[in-house]
This record gives sequence, C-alpha cells and structure tokens, in this order.
Amino acid sequence: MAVDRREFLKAVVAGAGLAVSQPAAARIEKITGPSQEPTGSSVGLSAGSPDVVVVGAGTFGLWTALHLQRLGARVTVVDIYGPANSRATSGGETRGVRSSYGDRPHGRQWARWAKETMRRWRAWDEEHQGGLLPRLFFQTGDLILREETSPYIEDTRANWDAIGAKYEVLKPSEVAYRWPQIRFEKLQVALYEPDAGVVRARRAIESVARVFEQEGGTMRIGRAALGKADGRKLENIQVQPGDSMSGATFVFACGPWFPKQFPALMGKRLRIPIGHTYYFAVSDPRFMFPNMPSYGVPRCTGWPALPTDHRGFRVRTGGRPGEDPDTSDRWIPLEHHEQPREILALHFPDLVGAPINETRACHYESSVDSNFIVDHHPDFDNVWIAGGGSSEAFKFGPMLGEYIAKRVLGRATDPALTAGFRLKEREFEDEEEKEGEEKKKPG
Amino acid sequence: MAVVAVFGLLGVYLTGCASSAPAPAPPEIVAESVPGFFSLAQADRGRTSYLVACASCHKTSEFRGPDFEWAWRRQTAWNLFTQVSSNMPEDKPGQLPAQVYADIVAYLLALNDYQVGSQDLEPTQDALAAIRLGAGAEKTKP
Repeated sequence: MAVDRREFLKAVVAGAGLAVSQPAAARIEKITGPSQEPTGSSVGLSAGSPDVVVVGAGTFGLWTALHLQRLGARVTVVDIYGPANSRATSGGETRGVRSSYGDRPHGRQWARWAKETMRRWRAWDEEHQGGLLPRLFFQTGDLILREETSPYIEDTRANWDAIGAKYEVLKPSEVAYRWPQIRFEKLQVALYEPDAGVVRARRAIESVARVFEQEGGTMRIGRAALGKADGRKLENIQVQPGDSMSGATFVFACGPWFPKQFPALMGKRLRIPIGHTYYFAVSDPRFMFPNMPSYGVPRCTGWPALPTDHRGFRVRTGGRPGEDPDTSDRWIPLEHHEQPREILALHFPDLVGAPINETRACHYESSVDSNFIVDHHPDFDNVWIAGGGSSEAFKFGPMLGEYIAKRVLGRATDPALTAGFRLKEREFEDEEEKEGEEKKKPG
Repeated sequence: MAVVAVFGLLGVYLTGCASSAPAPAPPEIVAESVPGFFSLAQADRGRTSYLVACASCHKTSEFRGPDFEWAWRRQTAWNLFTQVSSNMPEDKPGQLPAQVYADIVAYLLALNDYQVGSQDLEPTQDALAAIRLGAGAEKTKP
C-alpha cells in the first residue's frame, strides 16, 4: 500500500492531514500533482472494516478508489459485474479525450480539466505501460469540421484561449491537404486540437483495477443495496450474493444503475439513453493511427483504428432510449446500420463498403445540467454520490478520482467545482407526465 | 403567454371541450393580422409529432427555460430547425417531412412562451431565421 495505514489513521483522527512515505509521495505527486493542504477528514473509522466502500467499478468508482487508497484509506470496491465488464458505461472499446466544450455552460471548467487529464493519461502510460499492460492513450489530435460557425465553435475557441490550450484554425484547403481521405463539402470551419486523443477504455479500467489491487485494494463482485442505517449514518450495505458489508463511508458510483439504486432520488435526475458505436474494418493505413485524427462532424464523432489490434475505424452516431441496464441489449440492431454508412458516404467515401467488425451499445447517464454529480446523499452524512457523467466522464477519470477522493476525505477542493457538481434540485420533467399527474389529483 | 396557458389551450384543443357547459358558438375566423410566430394548431401538431418521435428519449424540461436559452444562445429558429431536422429522431435522422420538423419547432417555441398567432411557421430559412432564440430574445411580435 502506498501510505502507511497507521500513519493515515493517526493523521485522520488528529484531523491534521496525512503522513506519506517519500516514494509514495513522489508517485502520488507524479499522477495527481502537488496535494493541497488537508482540512481534516470526513471519513469515520471503524475497526476491521474498510474505511471506504465504493459501489461501482467504472470510471468514477475505480479512479476514486485508487486515489482514496493512495491518500491512505483502506478501500473495498463492489461491482455487480466487475471492472470493464461489457455492460459498463466505461466498458467500451475506446473513448475520446478532447477539451472542446463550448456547448456546455461549464465548458471552460471542463476544458481546463481536460487539458490536465491529457497529461495524466500520458503519465499513466509512462508509469504502467509495459509488461502485460498495453499502451492506453493515443494522441491522435482532434478535428472539428462544420459548414458554418456557431456559438459552440466560438465558445470552444474562447475557452481554449482562456486556458492556453493549443489549437489550430485550419482552412478547408489545409484540411484537404493534410487528410485527403476526409471529404466535407461546404466546409467552412475546421478546428484542430493537437493534444487530444483516444484511450483504450476497457483496458484502461482494467489497468486501474489492477493497480488498485496491487497497491492493496479489495475488489468484490456483487449487487449492492443500502443496508442498515442509524439515523443519518449508513452502517452497511447488503451485497448479493453474500452478506452485509460495513464501512465508515460509502461512495456510490453507479452510472446508469443509479435510477435502480436510488429510484426516488435519482430516477428523475438522470436519463440513461444508449449510444451507438460502430467499428468498421480497415486495411488502408490512412484510416489508422497516426495518419488521421479523431473527428467531430455533424451527427457523428469517431477516430482511426488503433494499433496493434486495429479493432476498427470508429463511428459514433445515433442511439436509442435506454431502460434497464441489467437487461438491455448491447448490440445495435440491423435497422440502424445505415446511419453510420451515411456518415461514411459523406465524409469517408473510401470506407463506404467496409464491413462492420463490431458494434457497441452503451448506456450513459445524463444529468439535468449535463454536469457531473459529486455530493452527499441527502439522507446520509457518510454516503456520497458520484456520477452524472453525461457521456463525457471517461476522459476525466484521473481528475475525477482525485477530486472525489479529496472531497470524501474532507480535503480542500475548488469551491466552484463543489458548486458545479452539487446534486441539483431540478429533475427531468415532462409536461405530458405533469398533465397526467394533475388529472389524477382529486378535486 | 405563459406555458401553462399554452398547454391549457392545447389541452382543450386536443380534448375538444372539457366543460359541461353548453359549447360556445364557434369563434369568428381569426383575423390574419394577429401577430405571432406560429399558430396554436401548429404547436398542437408539433406536440403530437413530438410525442411520437421525440418523447421516448427526451423530456420537455430539456427544451424550456434557462437550459434552452443557453443551448440556443445567439442563434435563431433556423439553427434549431436544422439541428432537429438533421439529427433527429436519433434512429432516423432527417426522415420526417420538413413541415413536421417546423411543427415540432413551433411546439418548442410554445414551451418557451413565444407568442402564438394565426399563421403557421413555415419551414423556410427566411421565416425561421427571423426568430431569435436565447436570452433576451423577443418573444412577442409587434
């Protein structure tokens, strides 16, 4: 374990921070940057039980568990199917890493985080690549193409200017020269973000799980539910199959399972649609890394096939309503397959007849304001909720994990982030449903 | 006009007459001079289309109030129309007739208190680009 547990306990009890061994401190700083001054801990301690039980082994849960552990906590992670499983939001083949968030009110905050998370993905590769772990982050650069400018384009540039991110504004002729395999009629706007890239998603989650366990963490497979409580303190969770699991603090990071986990609290605060992703077989190296960037065109995002396995040229377009994440099909029905081919015909005509290697249908969970949720459960002082990824959280894993761990441990964090990530009062509402509810009311 | 009022009108329009009182005489044909961005009948058609094509994935709260204003800041109804008609429904983007997309845009304008008039909103760039969206938009026509 990275931190001496006795020292950790002593520090927490004293409310005076953490004593970290020098090698561990160096590694923590390499990954997380210099830590802030501690402000005391919100972790209560119970003998013989984990300090923190994290429910959910996805992006939010595992990165949080790893950082909690590196800050000295004893952590157990419980997941219904296991890390990087095929039903997980983070269990897809790949995920993009970019900072073009002019489409969100909190876009500048996210852009700042995204810039830093690119550095951290590279650092993660530097530290862990080799042995059996493959390279995870591929710096493809990201290319946004549009027929006309828009507030999204303008505000993305304004955010980049504000945070000092590198980007290029390209003329259509430059795009055609650099990437002749891309076609875009009536192209007027092209932004290129050179530091952006793509992460091998499920393998990255596997790597975090492996490092977490190597450093002393405990993983357990099972379905978790709230257990016994004493007033505002949750004492344990029920894990099936199995028994109860006690802990001092609990972090629920359930992704699209939140509405099932906490129906009253989260049922209307999240939507859990399914996004469709296709991987087309390519043998033409122009459509492989490093010969083309990840791309964003209207109705679609995607990227080149990545070595060494070249699972395919990725096209993310369309989707369908999501229902129960335990029972929904995770493949894309044939009637949807014309959509990506329309994208290929428009922008990558040389691939229009390419066969589909595989499809992925992943739930994601959208919050009411498209921002993340990191907050206390309103009914418990020792229960945290971390989620609301809104289809963008994967890239931020290294940042989110550190941030959430610090919140859980009561360490100083940016108040603006705390405000942005609070559990909002607002819910997804529907006039039709409200109308129906009104009609049901007596008199 | 408040959204509630619009929905009230839509509800009456859909269900005929909810009251048990004798039906009033049909109103005179509305004068063409009533200003507004879309007609009540069009917003109602848009609502019906929305329920069929959009409601399985979306809640109306996504398309009204501050979120709507921010999402469509510095843009017009033409941008909204092209966004909806190019991308939706997600499983069949662009597959609905242009007039149906205009009806759905009219419904979204109704959700955001834009003024109802006597004319349908046409699915043309000229008509749609004249309607400003976002914070500070003029929701009533002189």
